Parts: sequence; C-alpha cells; structure tokens
Amino acid sequence: MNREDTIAALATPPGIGALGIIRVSGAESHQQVDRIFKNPKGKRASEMNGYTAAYGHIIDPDTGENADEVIILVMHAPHSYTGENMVEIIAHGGPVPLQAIMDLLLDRGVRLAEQGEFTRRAFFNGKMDLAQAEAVVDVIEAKTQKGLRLALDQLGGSLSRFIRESSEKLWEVLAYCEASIDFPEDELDGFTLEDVEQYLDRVEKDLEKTLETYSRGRALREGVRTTIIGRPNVGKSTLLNALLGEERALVTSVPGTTRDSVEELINLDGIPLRLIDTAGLRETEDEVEKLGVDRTRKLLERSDLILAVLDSGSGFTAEDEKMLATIPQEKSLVVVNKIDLDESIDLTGVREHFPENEILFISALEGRGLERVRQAIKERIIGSEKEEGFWVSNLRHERALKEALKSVKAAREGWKSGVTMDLAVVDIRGALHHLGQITGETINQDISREIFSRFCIGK
Amino acid sequence: MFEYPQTYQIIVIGAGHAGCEAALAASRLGFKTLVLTIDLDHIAFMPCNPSVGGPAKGHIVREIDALGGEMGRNIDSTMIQVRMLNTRKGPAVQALRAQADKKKYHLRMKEVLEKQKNLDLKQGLVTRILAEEGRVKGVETATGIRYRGEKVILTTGTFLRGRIIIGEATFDAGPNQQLPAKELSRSLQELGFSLKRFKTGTPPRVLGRTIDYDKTEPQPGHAGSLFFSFLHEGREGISGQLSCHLTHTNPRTHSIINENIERAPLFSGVIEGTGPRYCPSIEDKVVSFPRKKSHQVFIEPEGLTTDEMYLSGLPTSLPEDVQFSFLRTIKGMERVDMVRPGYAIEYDVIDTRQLNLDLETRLIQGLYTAGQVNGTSGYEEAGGQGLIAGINAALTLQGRKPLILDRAQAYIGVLIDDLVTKGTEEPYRMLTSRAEYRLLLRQDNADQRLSHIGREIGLLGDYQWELFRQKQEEIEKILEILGKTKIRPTPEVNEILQEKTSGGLNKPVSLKEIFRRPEITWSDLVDLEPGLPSCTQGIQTQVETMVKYEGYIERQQREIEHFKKLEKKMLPEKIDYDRVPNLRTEAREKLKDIRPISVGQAGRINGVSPADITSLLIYLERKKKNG
Repeated sequence: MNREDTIAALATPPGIGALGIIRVSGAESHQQVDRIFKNPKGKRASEMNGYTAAYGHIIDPDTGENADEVIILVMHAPHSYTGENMVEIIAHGGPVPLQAIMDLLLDRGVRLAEQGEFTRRAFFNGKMDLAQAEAVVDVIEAKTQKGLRLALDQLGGSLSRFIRESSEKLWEVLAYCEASIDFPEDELDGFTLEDVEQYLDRVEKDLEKTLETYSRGRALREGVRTTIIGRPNVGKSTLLNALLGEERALVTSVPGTTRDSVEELINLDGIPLRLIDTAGLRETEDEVEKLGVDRTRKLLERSDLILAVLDSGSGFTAEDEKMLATIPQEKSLVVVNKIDLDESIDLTGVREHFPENEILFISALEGRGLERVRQAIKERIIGSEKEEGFWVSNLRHERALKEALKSVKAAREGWKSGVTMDLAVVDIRGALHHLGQITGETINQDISREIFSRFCIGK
Repeated sequence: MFEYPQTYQIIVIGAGHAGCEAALAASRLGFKTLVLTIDLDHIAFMPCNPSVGGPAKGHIVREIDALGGEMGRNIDSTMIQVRMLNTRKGPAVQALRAQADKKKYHLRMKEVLEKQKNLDLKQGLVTRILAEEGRVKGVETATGIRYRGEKVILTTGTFLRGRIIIGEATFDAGPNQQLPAKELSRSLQELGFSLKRFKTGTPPRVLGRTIDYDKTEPQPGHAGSLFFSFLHEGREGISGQLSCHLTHTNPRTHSIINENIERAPLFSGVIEGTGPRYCPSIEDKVVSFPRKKSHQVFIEPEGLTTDEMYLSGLPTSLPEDVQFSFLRTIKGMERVDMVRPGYAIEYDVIDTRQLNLDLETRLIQGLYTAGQVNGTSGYEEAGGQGLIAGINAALTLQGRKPLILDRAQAYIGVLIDDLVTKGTEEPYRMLTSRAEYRLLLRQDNADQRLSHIGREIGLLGDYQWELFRQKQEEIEKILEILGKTKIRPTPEVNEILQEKTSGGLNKPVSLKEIFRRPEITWSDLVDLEPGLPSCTQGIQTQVETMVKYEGYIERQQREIEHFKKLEKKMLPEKIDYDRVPNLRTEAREKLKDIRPISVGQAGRINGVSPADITSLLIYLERKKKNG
C-alpha cells in the first residue's frame, strides 16, 4: 500500500442521481485536479482555501473537450475526511460524465482507490479509530445490490478463468526467458525464441478483446445506455413509456417537442436499462432543436444499445434510410411501431442495412409486441443463455487489464525491436502483476517452480 | 579435556568456501581468529564442479570482491578457462564463469589463510559447541582440545552426519570421502536447533586421455580481460585457456539406466534427504523427462596437473557398475576410464528460520552459521554468507551495528533474506530470477553498490578503494562529456549512422542521445567524436548500460523507493504478537517464529497475508500514538 500517491473514487452509488461526487485524496490531489478543472475566473484548487468551493468545467486538457459542469470543494490536510489534501468534484449524476471525469484523472497518474482505502487512510492519519473504520466499510459493503452482485460474481468466474489462461501463457514465456537466463547452457525443449513473440502477440489480442467487453460489462453495473431514435413523432416517447410502464417523457404528436433527451432507468429482469429518448434525428433549421440533434449524434456514439423506431403508418422514408445508415448494426434493434395503424410498410430498405437482424413489430400505444422487445433487448445485452461469455464489468478490473495490456504491448514491441531479454522480462512480470491484481495471485510465487516443472534443467 | 592456552575472539568451524571468507574477514578486521578444519588438505576444496560463477553466482563473487572478500581474487589467480555468459541477453544477466584449477584454488587459499595476520589455522574435528546461558563459549574437538572463543561461526558444509551413497553401498563420510562430523549434529540439537536432511550429488570423474575428443564439441574460453575481482579490471586476459567439451547421452544410455532403475538409491528409498531440482541426477532426468532422447554432458578439466575430468550433467548415485556401463555408451567415451564414481551425499542442515538476518542464531548468542549447513548449495552462495557472518561477528565485537544487505542492494541480501524469512525446502541455489531488482543488481556495478560498505567496515584495502574512486570519477566525467558533446547532422555523421542501420540526424543531438540507440556501440561514438577520452572496457560497458537502460533503471529505482518504505518500518525487538489484534493464527505463529526486523520482511513470510500486514501496521500506528 502506497500512502503517498493520489487516489480517486466515485463517492456516490453508481446509477443515476441528481449529483455524483468524485473524491480525490492524496498530497497531490489539488494539483491533479488543477490539470483538468477550468474556472471562469482562473481559480485553481491548489490556490484555494480549505473548505471553499469553486464552479467550473472539467476539460480534457488534450482535446479541450468538456466533460461536465461541476463544483469543486477543496480541503487541506489534516482537515479532511482522510486527513490528506482532498478535492470533492460534484458533477452531474449520470455515469457518462462521471466516467469521463474518472478517466481524465486516472489517465494522468491518479490511482483508482482500493475498496475502503479512503477509510483506511483516514484511520492511518488518526481521523478515526479501527471500530469506526470497520463500521464504515460495513456500510459500504451493505449498499451493494445483492442480486446484481451475484450475477457479477458468476461473470467474474469466467473472467478469472480468462485471466488465468492469459497469465498461464505469460508464465510460459517468463519461465522460458528466466530459464534461458539462469541456465544459459541448458537445452530448453518445447519452447523457442520465436514462441515468445507469438505468445505475447496472442495475449495482447486476447486482452484487447476482453477490454472491449468492458462497455458491455459496465452496462450491467451502471445501466445499459439505451438510446431510442427515429423521426419525429414515430412514437419514441410512447415506446419509452410503454417499456417504463408509466408516463414520464412528454408525449405529444407535434414533431420535435421532445427537445431535451429524457433519461429513465428501468429494470429488465435484473438488467438496468437507462433509456434515453432523444430529439428526433432530423436535419433542422431550428437552432435550439439543432443543439438537441447534435447531442443525439454524440449520444449514439456512447450508447450501448440503440432502438431505431420506424413508423408503420407513414412508411419507410428517406430520413429513415439515412438514420439506418448512421447507426451501427451490432448495437441496434429496429422496431416498427404503430402496427395498429398500418402493417404494410416496405422493409426492403431495412433489410438492406440490417440483413441479419430480427425486426420487431409493436404497437406501443396498445402494448402489443413489447414482450418480444424486452426479450430481444435482453438477448442483445446478455446473449443467449448458452453462449459462454464474460464481461469486464468493474472499473478496477478494467484498469488492471489496461495496465496489463500496456505491459504486454511494451514487452512485445520491445522484443520485436531487439530489446534484451532482461528488459523484456520486466514488462512480462509487470503484466503478470497487473493480471494478478484481479485474481489476487501475486507473481512473488516461486518462478523457479515453473522453470523446473517445464524444463529439464541441470548440468 | 585440554584447555587450549590461547583464547580466541572468533572461532570458525570449517574451512570451505564459507569458512575461508568468514575467517579472513574476521582476522582482517583485527580479531584473533581460529579456523578448525577436519582436513588441512581440503581448504577451499571443490568437491563438485571445478568452476566458479555463472548467472547470479558470478554476481555474488563480484559482490564478495567489492566488499573486500577473497573469492574473486582466488579464482582470478587459479582459473584455466573463463567465459562471459548471457552476452546477448542483456547486461543485467551477463555473468562470468571460470573453470578452476581445483588444486591450485585450494593451495592458494590455504596460503592466504596461513599468511593472514591474526589467523590461526588448525586441523581438528569439532564435536561440541560450548554455550552457557544462551551464549556461545567455545568448541571442543574429537581429540580432546577445548578452545575458548567469544563468537563461533559454523560453516560445516555437508559434513554434519554426512553419508555417501553409491548404489547399494553407503558409508558415513563427508564430501570426497573425508571424515564426517557425526557428533556435532547432536550438540546442535542439544542446544535446541532443529535440523533437516538434505541431499546432493556429484558425477563420476574420468581420465581425459581415455576420451575421444574428436567426437565431442569443443567449448573454448573467451578472450579478453575477463576477471572477477575489480582489482584485476583492465589486466590482460589469461592465456593458454583449456577447452571444455560437449557430448550427449543417447537412448542406449537411458535404457541402461532404466534397466537398473530399481537399484537406484533415489528410487529405492535409501535416500531420505531432499535433493536440488536444478541439479537432478541423470537417473532423475531420465525418469522425469522420458521423452527427452538425450541430455548434455559437459566434460570439464579439473586442473592443469591432473587428467581427471568432471562430467557436468551426470550426477548420479547409481551403483558403480551401472555408472561404468552407461558412461561407455556416450559418444566419445566408448573406452572411457572412470576413476571415481559419482555419489550422492546426505547431510544435516540447520533450519535457517532460526537465524537473524545477520546470520546469528536466535537460540545461542554469538553463534553464527553460514554456507551449505544453512541449506544452500554452491561455493559462491557459501562464500557470500561466510563473508557476512565473519563481518558481523567482528562488527558486534566492535560494538557496531551488524551488516544486513537488503534485496535492493545485493544478491547476497536476496539470498540471506530468502533463507531467514522463507527458509528452504531443498538445497538453495541463487538464481537471477529470485532478485526483484535484477536490472540494478548487475555484475558490472557490484563495486558501485558495495565498495563504500566494504570500505566503511574496513575490509576494502586502500588500493582497491582508490581504483574504485578513480573509476567512478572517470564514469562521471564520461557521462558528462557524452551529455555535453553535440553531434551536428553533417553528411559524414549521417553516413556513419546509416552504416550502422541507424537513422540519420536532422538536428544536433548529444552523444548520449545517440548512445541510447540499441545498435550504437562505444566504437561508433569514437567514430563520431574522435576526441572522446579512451577508457577501459569495464567503464565503457557500465556507461553504456547506464545510458541505454536509463528508463528501465529509473523505473526499478522507483520500485525500490517503494520497497524501502516498508523495509524501514522496523518492528520493535520485543513486540508481543499475542497483543496484536486481528492477526490470523498462522501469521501470529510465523511472526513469533521468524521475528522479522521490519514490516517489509514480515510481508515476505509465507503465511503472512497483506491483511495481516495491515493489522500489524495498525497496531504499530496505534502504539506510536499512545506512546
């Protein structure tokens, strides 16, 4: 445990709330926040007094992109929860901005706090006694939803299996390298220099693939970002409400009334769906509405699932055609609404863009076909029950995998460019260390055991 | 019992590789020292392979040398072949390995001991260690002499209840059929020590003139200034090197072994001790790796004045007739004459978890143990421990703090920390992979790591210290020049670079930047800047490593800072683990047993979890607050 580095974590429960708070603690926490926080008057966390707040934006210093509008609250050691310098970033409560802010911090050297680490630091800095510390940790534990945790645990089982397989390959490479370093004159059968690169390459690809599942896995924890799109008045809000079971979004038959997107959380057999109804996806002259449309485009990129709604009554239009061309097939479901009015819509255009996908027919108004929609969503997110898949669902795991990937990449690239074995091994060990953080296995275990079980050593 | 008239300050039992270093360190630091050995004709004897060094082991020899020990100088003066291993695997793991003239190695060391001021060298078989009220008082020998001493260093190698096994024949003996130390084990047990039984083995020796070398592959030495001791850096390399030779076993060899496998003591239950995995006997290899059709056999000369050859790769305790038969199946050895059969030897070792990191036993104050009796294998590992035990016996007599090298300082530190903190279940061999900070624990910088310590203790002589200081100054000067010298992108420069398939320049850069490129060597730098001062190979290598590895080295340095934080968190000597809340029972027992000196060391004990460490930290913190 390094008590000097700076840590950050989401302090509010994941999901949607009005506000979300990210806590940053450590000697460098003020400077760390300075790098991404922009106040209109140029206030900086490192220059602010203790227990004062400032308004501003979190900006990605590399791209200039605005992540969220926030208030920061600055605390000075020892007058803070942990007894260290701290900043609380109070942001909007959606997972999207919170995730973006966390990413900005973590990409710049802040470490994701371990479970209960804030409390542990508080304890070490004399801010609370052990009993208090334990009580706080208990409360944190109790908040985790049981059902979801169970599901994640199961998925975690497959994840550890994958980690073990990747680790196993890295162990083989490591054992080979270490054996050839420590026993330079022995014959090492069954593994060659060429295998090193091949194994590293393979592990790198596997890790990349696994990391891609993070968005799916995160979806389970924080809610599947589901966007409903379609021309104005095709019944997006009605569909949202039908899935929701109650009237939430403003439903009206005047095109373009739903200017702001509306976000709702529903529970679909344990899968949290964060449904977002958008302003219609339509080129428009209206400046206000255009803003909404731009946002929609951005939303689509970040969505895990897109429900593209067509209107059976008004048929398949050029605008529909354009919409289907913009959305990616693999995360979209096509829903044809208003079958109560007319069922004769020509679907040739749809098939062209989505040859593989099932097309769902519903009447959101009458509640027909909704069960099938729910089912299709579920299949899309979890996959059919037979499929053995797993997802990286937890930020800590994602971080560890990213670090492992970075190390494997460094090892492979180094190896390719002729870096010597003693250096390549440093990165391979690094990768194993990061993978071990997920499964709890450390690489301090005796590598020699590995060497002697694989190779006939000894002259 | 005759009371010897002279009282010694330090008594060393045994004059093998550990005993010699211990005795020399103790006497050189000014203490009246006695060495007792079973046989004066076996001082610094090499009962197994006639070679010193190799990965990790060679590193240790360099460390011994930088601290002011003898091993490096001894092998440098008596080697008959030398090689630099792992040259393509990176500077951190490069290692020297030398073939020794084993007779000369022994004779030179004996002479050094005999000539050493403050040092008495005597033949005597120690049967008892004397202790009163937990303090060591001296030793008694089989011939009825009692020697009084304030400190005793036990370096008995494989002699404790030594038993040699060759097929069905077994007899009580030390290595090379010397007298075993049968009674000393009991004395140790009476003092409360728990002992374990280990086993090791050695291959048969054959007569060189009965080998058909044409059927083997020569393994010549390497040219160049290759020496273990920093004293000898830059000297002209040894001449007239002998060659080793490589041959292989074959399926016929293996079938003879398999046919006689029920006669192998290793499998018949005759051998009880635990053997080393890294040095398995040939019968073990044949049984464990049945799909391997041949194993390497290195033929190594044992010296200039003998024709005996050591057969590396063939340790065995098979019956002598089986050894004879399978040897003659090996290519080049069809008519070979075996002069000594291989054998296995079983011996008692101390459970090293009974030691402190300074190698003093916890049970008996003033008693130190070092070398193979601590469960290690190898001359180098023994020498490193012997040196530390000798230094620490002396430092305590001076009222100074003992020398404890940590895992980031030296392989010797890794070795002793592993032994004391984890113990070992088999003969322990040093491997570079055991060192977490391998990139920093290089053989080229052992002097940088340890010379100042050797000097401060008082072991490193003026001459070697002066050489070291000059070398450091030169390194710094050259690094400065490399950083300051800018190379301009002229056509000549780019031509030189392109010749090395290195990219051309488009703006002036420092020589140091250019040196970072993997393909650029020192001589290329001289081509680019003929005004560079000339310097020795040793300095070139070190500068090159420092420049090329800078990023990696800095990374490890950061890890070390992290590591040191917990190493510096000392545990009070009198800590009562029963009063530390929340420790798991296993951890509590282990901590009580091993009594680590720091939180860092505690964390390395098998059976102590990170959660236990947190509990320990909490306890310490709370104690600090409550005073």
